[in-house]
Amino acid sequence: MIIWRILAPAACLLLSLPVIASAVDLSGQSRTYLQSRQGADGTNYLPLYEYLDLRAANIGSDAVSFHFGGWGRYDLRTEEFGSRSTGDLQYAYLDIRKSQANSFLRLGRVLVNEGVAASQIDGAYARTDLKGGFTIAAYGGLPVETDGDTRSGDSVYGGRISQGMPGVYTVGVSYLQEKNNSSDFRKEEGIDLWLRPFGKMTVQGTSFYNALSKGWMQHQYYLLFGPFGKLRLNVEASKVYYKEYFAATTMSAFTSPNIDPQETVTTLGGSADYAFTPALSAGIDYKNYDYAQAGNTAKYYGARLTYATAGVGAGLALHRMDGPTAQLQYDDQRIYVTKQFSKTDITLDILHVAYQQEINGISDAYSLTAAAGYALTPKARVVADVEYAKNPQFDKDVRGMLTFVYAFDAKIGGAAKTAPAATGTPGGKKP
Amino acid sequence: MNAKVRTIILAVMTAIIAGVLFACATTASLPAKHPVEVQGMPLCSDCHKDWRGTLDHRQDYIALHRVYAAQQKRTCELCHVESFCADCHANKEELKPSDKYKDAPARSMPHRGDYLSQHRIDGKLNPASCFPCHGRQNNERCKECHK
Repeated sequence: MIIWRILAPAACLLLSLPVIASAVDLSGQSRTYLQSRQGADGTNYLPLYEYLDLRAANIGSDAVSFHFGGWGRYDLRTEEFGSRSTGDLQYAYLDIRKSQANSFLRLGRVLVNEGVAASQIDGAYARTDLKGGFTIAAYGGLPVETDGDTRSGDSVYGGRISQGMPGVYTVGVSYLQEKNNSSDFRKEEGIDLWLRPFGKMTVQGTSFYNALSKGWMQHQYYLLFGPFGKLRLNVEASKVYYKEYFAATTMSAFTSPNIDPQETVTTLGGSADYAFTPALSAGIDYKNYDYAQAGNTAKYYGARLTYATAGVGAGLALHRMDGPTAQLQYDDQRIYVTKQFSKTDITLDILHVAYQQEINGISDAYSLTAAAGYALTPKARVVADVEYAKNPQFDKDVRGMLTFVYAFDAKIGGAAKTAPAATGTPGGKKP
Repeated sequence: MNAKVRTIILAVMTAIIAGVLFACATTASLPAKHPVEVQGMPLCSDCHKDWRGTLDHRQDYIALHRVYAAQQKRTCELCHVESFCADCHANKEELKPSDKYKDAPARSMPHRGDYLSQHRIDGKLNPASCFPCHGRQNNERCKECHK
């Protein structure tokens, strides 16, 4: 069964740990979800999901660790998309680090984030700092795909070189080449920039170039100003060239006639946030989309109010999407509140979207969610939530989910002893 | 000299130069974990009065995090394990991120509520925002309609 194929690497690792080393630090988290929902055709689904995140550190040396993440699903009631079970191996890699120069080598299924690359690959990924503020990274292997074609003739490789001065600037250039069935699929080049010329101003962004079609894909830059007392300002500018940006898609939604490949969209926007107190802040935001080919514009704008303390959180947001036609216009409002009582917490979240033009005869979509969580122990937590919705897809949609989260942290091999829970320990990482 | 030989020579020279620079680089690596655990959406500027204050996780950080991840993911890894990224940046996913964390409404999770209806509008106006997650992967369900 596919679930076991995914969980097998983790099981093999667990069984082999006592052989590998005298004391391996094992930590991670198990999340189990049982969801009850109804499909648009009236079919009732009861999928059971298991998400496992596992980290084994100090494998023979404190420089070596293994990281695993994956999920499996089995529907207790019926088949979904032709199968009762499915799953995915999200990552599984051996990590070897050096104590100097932030050097690492990762082998296995890894998520590569290097400039133009933000892709999962099955292969190798290495990175190190060099002298003079330079950093170099390289990766190569097989691209991870969910599409039906075989992986024969597929490959991906690339890298990034950057230079910077901590706190002042970092500028990087990156490259990615991917082949599908031995043919060029992607050849992309990127520039990334982080610049802080003054203490109150930061410029950051990326530009990507399609080396196959020989044209810019995207420029996206942000200017961050502040804080000026309690006020912070952000400005955003971007330009997307559809033909080059969507060139390497595998889905029809990003091809003609769903989109106009000749379209170029320029986005300009900004936001202002004011912190009345450390807990209470308000913000306004505005974004204008200018379509060169269609010759029209769309605007998205609104305001939000947030309140957050250790035991209470609340938020209110009001926005309008003002597209060029009534079909592309809506107002959305959201209000939520969450409160913690000792080991228990409750959450209420309400969404409303008002479509300017009815969809399936409905112009108002509502969603009301209530959730209650309880900390069984510092490591274990259970959450129950129920969502009621009325929208263009469902006259009445009620779905619920039970969640069980368990964090583990132990030493395996050597003197068997369980370490303190990850929660609340200094340096603990967010799962 | 043909292109293949030129490429090999260039790669070898790059590797030698990088090797020399690497041998000379003696800076200490960042620690594996942030020395103090932080809760919720941290304001780095509470402790760090230098440039690290720009990493403050305010509401707008969701739009900015991609640049930090593209340049210095090792900084993210001080506090976040890989599964934190994988919750949204998945190759194949069935559960919406917002469905997994209904008890954490302050987190900026995409596609809350009935996004099936709304995606028809957002997808027309800003398809580039869909593409990084659904253009080449995580689109098996999209293809049920977008054949």
